[in-house]
Amino acid sequence: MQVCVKRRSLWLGAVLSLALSSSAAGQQTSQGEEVSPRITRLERWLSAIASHRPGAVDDSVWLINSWNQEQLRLVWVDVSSIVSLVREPDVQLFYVSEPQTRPTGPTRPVSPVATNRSTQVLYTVGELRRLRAIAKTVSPTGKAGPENDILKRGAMLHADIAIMTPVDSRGGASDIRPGPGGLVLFMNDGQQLGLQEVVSHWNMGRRLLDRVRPVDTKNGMKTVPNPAGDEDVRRWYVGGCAYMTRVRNIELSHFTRALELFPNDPDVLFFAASAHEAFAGVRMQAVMRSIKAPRDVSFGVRDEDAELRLAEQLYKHAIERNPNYLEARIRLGRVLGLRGRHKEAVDQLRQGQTATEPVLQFYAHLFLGGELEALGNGAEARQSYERAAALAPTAQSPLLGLSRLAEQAGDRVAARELIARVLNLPPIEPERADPWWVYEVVQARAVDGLLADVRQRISRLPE
Amino acid sequence: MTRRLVAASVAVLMGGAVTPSAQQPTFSAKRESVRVDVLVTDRGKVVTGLGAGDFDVRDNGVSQAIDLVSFQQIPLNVFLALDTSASVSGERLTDLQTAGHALLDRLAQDDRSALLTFSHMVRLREGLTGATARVRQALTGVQPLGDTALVDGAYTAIMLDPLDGGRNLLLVFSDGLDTASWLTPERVLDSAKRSDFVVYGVSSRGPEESKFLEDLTELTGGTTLKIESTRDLSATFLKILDEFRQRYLISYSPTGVPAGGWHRLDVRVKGRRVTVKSRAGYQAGA
Repeated sequence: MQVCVKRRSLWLGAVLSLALSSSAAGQQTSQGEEVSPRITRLERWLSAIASHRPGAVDDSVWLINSWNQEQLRLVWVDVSSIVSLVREPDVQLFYVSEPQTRPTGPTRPVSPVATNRSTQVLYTVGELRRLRAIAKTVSPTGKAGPENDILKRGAMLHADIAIMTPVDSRGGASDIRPGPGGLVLFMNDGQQLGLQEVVSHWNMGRRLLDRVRPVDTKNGMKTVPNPAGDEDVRRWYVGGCAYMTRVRNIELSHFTRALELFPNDPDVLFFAASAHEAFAGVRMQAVMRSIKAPRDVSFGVRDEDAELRLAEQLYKHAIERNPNYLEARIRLGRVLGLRGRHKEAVDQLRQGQTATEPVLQFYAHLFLGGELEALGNGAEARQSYERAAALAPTAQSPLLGLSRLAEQAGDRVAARELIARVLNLPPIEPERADPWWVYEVVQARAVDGLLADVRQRISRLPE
Repeated sequence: MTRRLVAASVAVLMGGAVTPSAQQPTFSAKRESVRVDVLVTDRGKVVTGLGAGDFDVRDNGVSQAIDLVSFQQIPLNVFLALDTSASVSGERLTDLQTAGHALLDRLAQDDRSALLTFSHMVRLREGLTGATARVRQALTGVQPLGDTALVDGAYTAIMLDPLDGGRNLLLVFSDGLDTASWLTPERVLDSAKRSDFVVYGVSSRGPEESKFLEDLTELTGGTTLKIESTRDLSATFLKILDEFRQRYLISYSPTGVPAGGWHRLDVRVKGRRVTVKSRAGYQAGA
């Protein structure tokens, strides 16, 4: 499992260094007609996103994957300038606001107009001329809209890089400098394996999509982005949440930003809830208690009780938005049980039992067995465990639950027979499978479909 | 112990031997014995040569007459319950296998052994057998994989109590952090109260991670040994085996105590300032 963050306390210094480096770049290329490597890189990026086939590991993927954090940050700055030029062709001044990296809580909406957190971007005359030419290419009619396609295609390319290339193939990064990079905490079986600075292509995708403004957006100035009003953006975020969940590589910023943009979307709420449910687990809590990391690094993971409380709130919100979200009910039932509210848990799990998908039925029965046992209702607990065992005949978890119930009731013979059944299960996977073992990732089982969907939508966009 | 106590309490109820004044049935004059495994040490050194008259055993605070004290006379049933999750790989696995083999080498001819492993999956690699070579072979073939279901593994091992009157040692090794169990520590500790096993734990992690193992070993009269490195495993395993062999096995027939429920045990050596380690109690009548 991995968690990705950026340091917080060094933020001010990072912004200042951004301004200085931009000015320096401008002076170096102040000859006007001189070919600017910066703009050339932007053009290569634009070419890469145009030729990239979503879902393919093509040359575009490998080219952009080799770029380092600073190069990607400049691309993002310059793409933002292109977007500004398309939406307001007469614009003369360009500003950039680095996305907030707080792991939790609301962040300031990103805007190309000046704010107290924004920094002016300085271009040479020659660079600006070329940027205007590129903007004209993006939108030959001069109307807003096509720039969104650039942003979405770019976000898709960066997501594909994140998904399809190994972490150790990425360009260089620094968690204390601005740009799409951060610290990744590697862990396994509740133990920290390492801490590494890497480029985050999900971060780059989020930066790009923060500029999206659907053409039918009614409110605000035409320079103010509105990514929350775009269905492609929503699906990109949901697909990202599902992917990160499945591979246990959680960028909390991704879930946080998804919640900011789509606070009432049941799927976003559900995935965010399940991330916090996982954070409450012993695997994450143990690593957080013993973590070896720089003192100014915060991973935004709260203690078990706080994470469970957050998960409960988010699941409940998801259910409010979609009362038929049975998977959310089942998981809410488990969270309530972990919080010691067994009767409430049983209520949710009983509703969850009506799910049609066998794997969801299994979880509902398994958890119900545990909750009923906690309430001292051994007979019904046994029935629930037996139903779970029938649904997953090679699962050890319901058999262990049944054995423990029998043992507690004084029927040691039955308890031992049930243990014998556990020990006679197939010795290797996949012949032996227990849905309990994949509970932390099973909610992302539709990830392939979700990613295919967003890739298909974006591949239909004009190049 | 559990089965014996179940039989005892049933016999009492069937025979109607309930004293009129008692709120609960008590053990009659004809009842089966309780066995308690006891380790006596003096400043870390095992104290040997004690007899029945040297011990004071209190069952729920009631002094008991000791029937028998034996020492090193009963063959051992040694259950190895080993963590083979992904975190126990490379040198750790090699060290673990070496330690297991060292322990098996030191078993006496009449001793028996068994091997259970747990990752997220609980597996009995070799059931209780006098053929040590088979256990050794099973241990050699172990491969690390997946998460750690320590609680599930411990429960499964506890339920393998052979009920044959032998002395049962359950040696649990883990990196100490349970990431995959379905059963909860509280429920398994409750089941351990009805087990005959003395559980020794070996943990290679920091103190906060091994709470369950500590509770389990404390409850059953064993000890959890924490090691800095798995290079220390062989010596640790052998120390446990040697210590277990030097424990006293005390038996007594409970008198003056209720037939059911949790019985708190307090074992002391009369007139000597020594350390006595035994199970915290036993669950009767279940």
